[in-house]
Formats: sequence, structure tokens, C-alpha cells
Amino acid sequence: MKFATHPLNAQALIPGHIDTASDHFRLWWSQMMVFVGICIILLPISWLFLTAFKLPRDVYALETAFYFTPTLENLQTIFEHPWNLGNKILNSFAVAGGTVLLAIPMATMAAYAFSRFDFRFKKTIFLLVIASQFIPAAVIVLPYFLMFKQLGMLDTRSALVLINMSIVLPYAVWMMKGFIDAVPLEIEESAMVDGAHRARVIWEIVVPAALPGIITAAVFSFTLTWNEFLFALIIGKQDALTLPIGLISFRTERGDLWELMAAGGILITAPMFFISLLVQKQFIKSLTAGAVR
Amino acid sequence: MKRRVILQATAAGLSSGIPSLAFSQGIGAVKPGKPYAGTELNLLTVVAPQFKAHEAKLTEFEALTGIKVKYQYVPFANTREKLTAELVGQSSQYDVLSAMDVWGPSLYNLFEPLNGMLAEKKIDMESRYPYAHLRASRDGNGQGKNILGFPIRGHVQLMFYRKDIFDKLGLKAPNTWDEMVEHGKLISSKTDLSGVAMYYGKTAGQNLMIWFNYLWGAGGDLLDAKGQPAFNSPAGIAATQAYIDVMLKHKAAPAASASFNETDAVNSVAQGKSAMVPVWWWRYASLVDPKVSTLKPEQVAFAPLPSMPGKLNTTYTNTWFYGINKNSKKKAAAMEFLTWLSNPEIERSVLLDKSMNEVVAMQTKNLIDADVNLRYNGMHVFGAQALKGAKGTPLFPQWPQVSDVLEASISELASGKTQVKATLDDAAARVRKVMRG
Amino acid sequence: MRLPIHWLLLAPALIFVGAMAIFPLGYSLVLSFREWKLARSPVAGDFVGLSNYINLLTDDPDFLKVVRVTGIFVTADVLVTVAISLAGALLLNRAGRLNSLARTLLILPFVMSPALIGISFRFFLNAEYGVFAHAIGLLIPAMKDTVWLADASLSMAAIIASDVWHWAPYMTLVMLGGLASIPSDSIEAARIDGATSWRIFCDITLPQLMPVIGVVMVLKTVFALKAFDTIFTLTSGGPGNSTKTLAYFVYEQGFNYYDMGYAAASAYVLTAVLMVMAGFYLRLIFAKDRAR
Repeated sequence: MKFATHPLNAQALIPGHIDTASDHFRLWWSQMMVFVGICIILLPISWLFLTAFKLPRDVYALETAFYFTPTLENLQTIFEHPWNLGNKILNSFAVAGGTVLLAIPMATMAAYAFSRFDFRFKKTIFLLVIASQFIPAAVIVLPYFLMFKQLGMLDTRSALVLINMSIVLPYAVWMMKGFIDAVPLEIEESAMVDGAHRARVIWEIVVPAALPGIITAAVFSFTLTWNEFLFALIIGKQDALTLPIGLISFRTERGDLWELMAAGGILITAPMFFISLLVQKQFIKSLTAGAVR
Repeated sequence: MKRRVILQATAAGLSSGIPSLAFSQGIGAVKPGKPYAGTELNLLTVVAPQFKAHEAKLTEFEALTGIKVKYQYVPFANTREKLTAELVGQSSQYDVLSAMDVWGPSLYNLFEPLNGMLAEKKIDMESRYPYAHLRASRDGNGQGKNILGFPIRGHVQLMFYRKDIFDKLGLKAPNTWDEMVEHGKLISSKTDLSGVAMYYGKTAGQNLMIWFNYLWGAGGDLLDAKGQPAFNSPAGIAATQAYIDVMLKHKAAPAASASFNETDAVNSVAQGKSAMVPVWWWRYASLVDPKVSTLKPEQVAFAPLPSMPGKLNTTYTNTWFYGINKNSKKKAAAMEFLTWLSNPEIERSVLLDKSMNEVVAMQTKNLIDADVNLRYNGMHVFGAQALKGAKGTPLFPQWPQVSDVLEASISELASGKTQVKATLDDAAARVRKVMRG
Repeated sequence: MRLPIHWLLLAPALIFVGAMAIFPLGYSLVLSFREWKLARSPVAGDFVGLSNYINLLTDDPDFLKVVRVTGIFVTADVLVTVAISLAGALLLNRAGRLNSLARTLLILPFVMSPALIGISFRFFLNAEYGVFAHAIGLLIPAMKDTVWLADASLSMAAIIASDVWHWAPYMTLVMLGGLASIPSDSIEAARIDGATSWRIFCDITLPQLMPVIGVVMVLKTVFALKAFDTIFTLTSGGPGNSTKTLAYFVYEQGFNYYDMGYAAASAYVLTAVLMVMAGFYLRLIFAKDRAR
């Protein structure tokens, strides 16, 4: 039987793996479970997708669940005043992109240090870095407001980038440390014995080997920043409003403007999905590169 | 037209107690000569058709005074956080702010007292606004002498019902809560609609809005004269029992009411699943707008809220006001803006605007206006009458916590798993604690 | 004197986290020892020592209930997520078009905004027009007319389900990454020796996967303890207080009741719990370091 030589298929490569009837049954059963899983993932999302094209009165009835007259009005409305989602998308990209570009290199260096070196207070420092994320946002958002007010940085995207960097750094460092741990020391050590500078070693050996981890951390950080709500709400006024604020704006006095929220929901989820698709290819490639040595 | 005559007569009757001279005195004017030209003001507000209509008129204001006003929209659900940040940070990100009475007077500390400026402009707030709305704009828990803002959006409750179903079954709008239950049971048995869409779910204190009417109608109250919980008195217990029995015992409300919030209940009627809903007057738009509702305007009628037998109709009111940020550096310009915006003519033009179904009217003059009442079938005259005896949101600092305790209790009771007396006694103990601290 | 290189590498991250995090964390800690009710004054009040904490732990019936609710929520959430992601990873760790499709879709629930998920689930569980409510009513006739969000246990199930829906697919990806690093030769060898799949799983796969499972557990626990947006939009802590978690409680104290000192104190109780957990976990991963 032919299978792609993909490390994820290691187990399936075993000859004679699928032979008996019970194996067939197990295969069928597992594929069934996968199918159910896909449905569970897709159901709410496809619902959202459909709702974006419904008129408000069709949203609240079961009868018009699948059968309704579609309209493009919602997708149009969300870009108009007062929702202005177009502006918010740009801000979201700027803030999330800026955060990841600045935070990932910092996190990689720090993760490398935690992984390769032993020094006093290492555990404590690591704990403190992570502990900064243990406190609920509701309590630190007002001190942040005061801080940025003093700095005159209210309603700026830079302020949001700084805040989001401080949110994602702990997780990024932690995730990456695990991946760097898995890269064998021998290669680095032999390169350094050969006279290579530590910085070169990191850049040319460790980073490529730990690339899945770096990408994982980057995607994670981007997502956290993209969906971050409370800080953007408090710090922003008109120039630094991001998509989550736009989304919540659809909860009005009249209730949830579901049709607009669904349209906005598509807008906020789609870019993330495409980015992660792009990244997945890279991710899988580097998994392969890493496994075959 | 006969109706017009009746409306005019009623309007005349209501206005006869107010000296007509006060109207011309009540209208302030902006300062001539554009002394604040070039100033930019930031206004914190939420998306509502009324405010969008105001925003559309801003170019007029700029032409008049040279002041540019920017409407900064914030999600309705999060306005409180913004106001809290502004208060704590003592910042002036916004020059004009809006606050709602149900959020509690703690946020009122953010607003600049307007009495001096009002006197300068010769604006007579008392003749302009009904007492209930003006009270919510004062400091000192509604009793103080400082006025902190211009009531800009406020509501009374009405009973909306399906006229066509009522006509078919020969019913008239219910006068008492018992009648509402009877009508509800009849409708459930003879049609496939539920009687009345109640809302007992826990969302921002919404399940207390009708409960208060039951409580006050039965002679009970939230707190007694000493500020201690009084809602678990025998009258309070009976009222609460009657309130939840609409669904639990009589099944005049659908079982889903236990988790409904206000919007769900209105949708239930708009989708033709229930025949009545007691709710704020502004929901009228959601019931007749063809994009949002399956009903036609002819099918939707309204009446004052039912009452307890032999007692007067009550209503609960709810008020938003626009005020000036204490920390703002542009207070005079902000006052110009508010003076202009609160001109009764602006409110009137929004009410008569055919492109919207905005019913919100704050000013007495507009409530009794003949054209407005013609458009909305006398809703505003009802509103004016109701406002006369209306009690508003309790205005003491611990109200948000008390509201949370009560709405949690009601939503628990609606699940049918607890007893009214025990739950209310428990709530009273917590409220006592809250009032102490 | 040359600066040891590890400090140079750590410096940017440490300085940044220090600068950005110290002020807010310190401010909040100090605040928890003061009394500050916005109703009374717009600036922080006097120092009251530990009284906020003492009130919290001894005088607040709500707080103890909130701790219980949080415990149930977090435990169930983490256990279900770990179980599903582990099972999912094992299932998807083979070739096939369906599996490939599934792996691509796994990231999707994670990138959806938590608030949107809460709102959506609330919509789907609505007794009158909710698809889930009706679908489950069809499958389980006994539950045909249940009003999900009016029942304490069902509401708890709903918030757990929504959080699991959000995170489990992503955690499956993480587990898949972990599975990929298990050398296939040892599995091959075991199979050739005639070991059953179950034995292979227990003796080879699971031990190698422990670090990854550990990461998943801790990460999920932290996020479950901080989970707010979903609960806020799905149940608002209701019915009654049955889905009010600690994160919700903190938010409520600060932004609904305007009692800033008390909110800070309750937040630090949460932090203390997390610190203890993190301490245990760190000992685990750093012990592995030493063993290397």
C-alpha cells in the first residue's frame, strides 16, 4: 500500500498494518470519529457564515435556517459609519503584526538562554516572567491606562503593541523553550568547537531546527493579539480601535445585531485562517526537515 | 378626524398646568459671534438611531459655531468600563459623556455640575423635562441640587400586543396583571402562540424591569425608610410569586422565558411566537421594521402597562443624560453643544423623521405634541401620563450590587427549583450586607 | 569584565516584561491593601492592611461559591480538553485525505474571538430558535423542551463546551507536534515484536508525550482560570450565580461595583493559586533539564 513518506505517517508505514477485518473496522471507526470532529468544528462556523447573508428577521427563526433570501447588505454595512470595520482591520493587522515582529526575536533569545544555560535564580526568573500573565486583565487594565496617560500614549497603536508584547512574551518564551530543548546540543557544541560564534550557531542551526516551535509561538501570539479586547477597549478611542471592538459594537441596546456580527465575524476570522494555512505548510515542512536527519 | 381631536384635547389638558411662557424661556441659545470657533470636542456615546440622527445634524452646528464635534462610538455593553477608566484616570479623552442611571451614581462623580451655566443660558430644566428624568440627572442620589446633564434618552414601559390576534379572540388590552394572565392562557389554548413573552434571564438587570411594577403595584418597595431591604415583606413575596407564576404556574408565558432577556422576548413577538410583551417603548421599532420583524404595523398595538387591581398604572423609567466631563478643558464649548442639541426642535424633527421609527422623546413639550402623537398613535401622551407617577431606577451607590443580587435571585426562581420566600430572604440578607459596606 | 552571554540574550525580554509588567502588577498589589470604592472617592483611599483579603475569605459567601464554581469549571475544562486533544492527535496521526482536511481545520476554532464564540453558543442554545437546542432535543427526546440557559448544570456544561470547542482543536495540533517527535523506529520495533497498539501506546507513546501533555495541561489551566469573554457573553454568570467564575468575579467587583481594592485582592488570590501550580510544574520541567 502506498503512503506518503510523511513523518506523521510513521505508524502507517508499518507493513502489514492493515490486514485483518478488525483493522478495517478500526479504520472505519476512526475515520467516522474524524468526520464527526470535522462537523463539530464546522457547524458553528458555517452557521456564522450563513447568517452573515441573512436579513435580520431571518436570523431569529429556525424555519429560515437554511432557506432564505440572501443579501450582501450586511457585508456592505459593516464598512460604513459608525461601524467602520475597514479601519479596524488595518489597526488589527498593524498591532498584531508589530507585536509578533518585535516579540518573537526577543522570546527566541530568551528561550535559548533558559534552555542552554544554567544560572542563579533561573527558575525564579522564569517563574516571574510567566507569572506576569497570572493576573486577570480586569485588574491591570486601569493601571495600564494610568501609565499610558502619563506617557501621553493613549489611543495609539504603539501603546497596544507594547501591551500585547507584554502579554505574549511569557507564552512565547515558554513554548519555544520546549522546542529548543528538543534540539540536540551536540550539533551546536561541535559547531562551536569548530570555532563558530554563538550568535551564528543560534541563527544557522538552532533557529531552523526549532522553526516549528517558533512558528507555533508566532501564530499563538498573533492570535492572542488579534482577539485581545479589554486593553484595546480602554486604551483606544478613535485611532487605535481594533476588530474585537468592532465586533462587540454590534451588541447594541436593541440586542445583538446578529447579521452584522456574523459578517464582522467572518471578517475577523478569515485573515487568521488564511495566515495559519500559509504557516501550516511551513510548519509541516520543517517538521519533515527536522525528523529526517 | 376624531382621533386627532381626542389627542389634541388630551394634549391641551396636560399642558394646561404649564405656563406657556416657560417654553420660550426654556430654549437656550448659542453665543453669537462664534467665540469657540476651531475647538474640537469628543463625545462618548453608543450607537442608537437617535444618536445617529443627531450626528447627521452636526454640520449645522459647526456652521453655527465653528465647533467640531466628534462622535466616538463605544459598544453599548462596555460604556461603563470607559467611564470608569475616565473617572479613575481623571482624564479628558472625552469632553461630553453619557451615563445611564442604572449604572449607579458612582459614575456621576465624573460630571461637572451645570447649574451656573444653565442659569446663564436661561434654560429652565424643570419645565423642559419630566420630573422622573430630571431626577436621574441630579447628584446626591437624585436629591441633590446640582444638575449633571441633559436627559437625552429615556424610556417608559408599555404593553405591546398583537392587535390582530386580540381582535380575532375579542380581547381588549389587559388592564391588570391577572387579566394579562387570563388573556395569555386563552391565546395559548386557541392559537399556537404563547400568551406573553416574559424575560426572567440574567442580563444587566433586565428581569427586574417588570418585577418592579409588580412590587410597587402590590404596595411593596425595594428599601424601607431606613434604607434596609423591604422587598421580602409579605407584599413583596406575593408580588414576586405572581411575577414568576405567569410562567411557572399559569404557563401564560413560554417555558423559554426562564432564559430570555429583553431582546429574546421582543424577538419572540416579532417572530410571531408570542402575543404580548411588556417592554420599553423604543422597542416599537423592532416590532414594525420589516427588516427585523415578520409583523406589519397594523398587527402591533400598545397600551399602558397593566397594574394591580384597583391601583394606578405604574411604569419604571430609565434615563441617559449627556453631561460635561469634569476633567475637560473645553467646558464652555461643550455647553454650547449641549445647549444646541437639547433644543426641543431637534428632538421633534427626529420623532417626525419618516426614515426611522425612533420614538424616544424626553422633553415634555414633545411628549404632548400633536403631530408626534398622530404619528405614533398617542404613545407619547401615554408616556407623559405614565411619567407623572413614575418611579425610576433607585439611585444609591450600592445599586449595581443590589441589582445583581436581585436579578440572580429572580433568574434562580424562574428555574422553578427554589422557593420565593427563602430566596428573597437570602437576597435580603445579602443586600443588608451590601448596604452596610 | 565580559557580561555572560546568557544575560545578553535574556536582557531584551526581561527588561521589557519587567518594565511593562512591574508597574501594573505592583500597583494592583498595593491597591489590594487599600480601600477604594469609586462611589466614595475618585482616588484611592486609606491603607487597610489585609482586611480586603480577610473579608474575601471569611465574610463573602459569594466568593466561596465562586471558588467552587471555578474549581469545577477548570477541572472539567482541562480534563476534557486534554482527553479530546490526545484522542484527536492519535486519530489524526495517519495519512488520508480526511485526516489532512481535519488537520487544516483544527486551527479554525482557536482563531475565532472568544466573545464571538460565547455569543454564538448562546444563540445556538436559545430555546426558541437555537439549532443546538433543537438538535439535541431531537436526539434525546427527554431533553426536548429544556431551556438550557435556565438550568445551572446545563449552563455549566455550555460554558465548558464552548471553551473546549475553542481550545481542544488547537491543543490537538500541539499534541500532533509532540507525536511527530517520537522516533518511529522504536514503534516499528515494538510492532515487529508483536506488541498491541494499546501496549505501544502505554509503554512508548505516552511516556514520550508526557512533557507535551504537561504543557497542554498547564497552558489550559491558566487560560481556563482567566477565561472571561466566553462566560460573560454566554451566561453572564447565570442562572443565579452558578457560572460565575473567579475571573468574572474580579471583573464584576471592579467594573460593576466599583470596589477597586477588593477587586485587586480577589485578583491576587487567583494569582497566588496560579503561582503555586506554576511552581510545581517548573520543578518538573527543570528537573528534566538536569537529567539531560
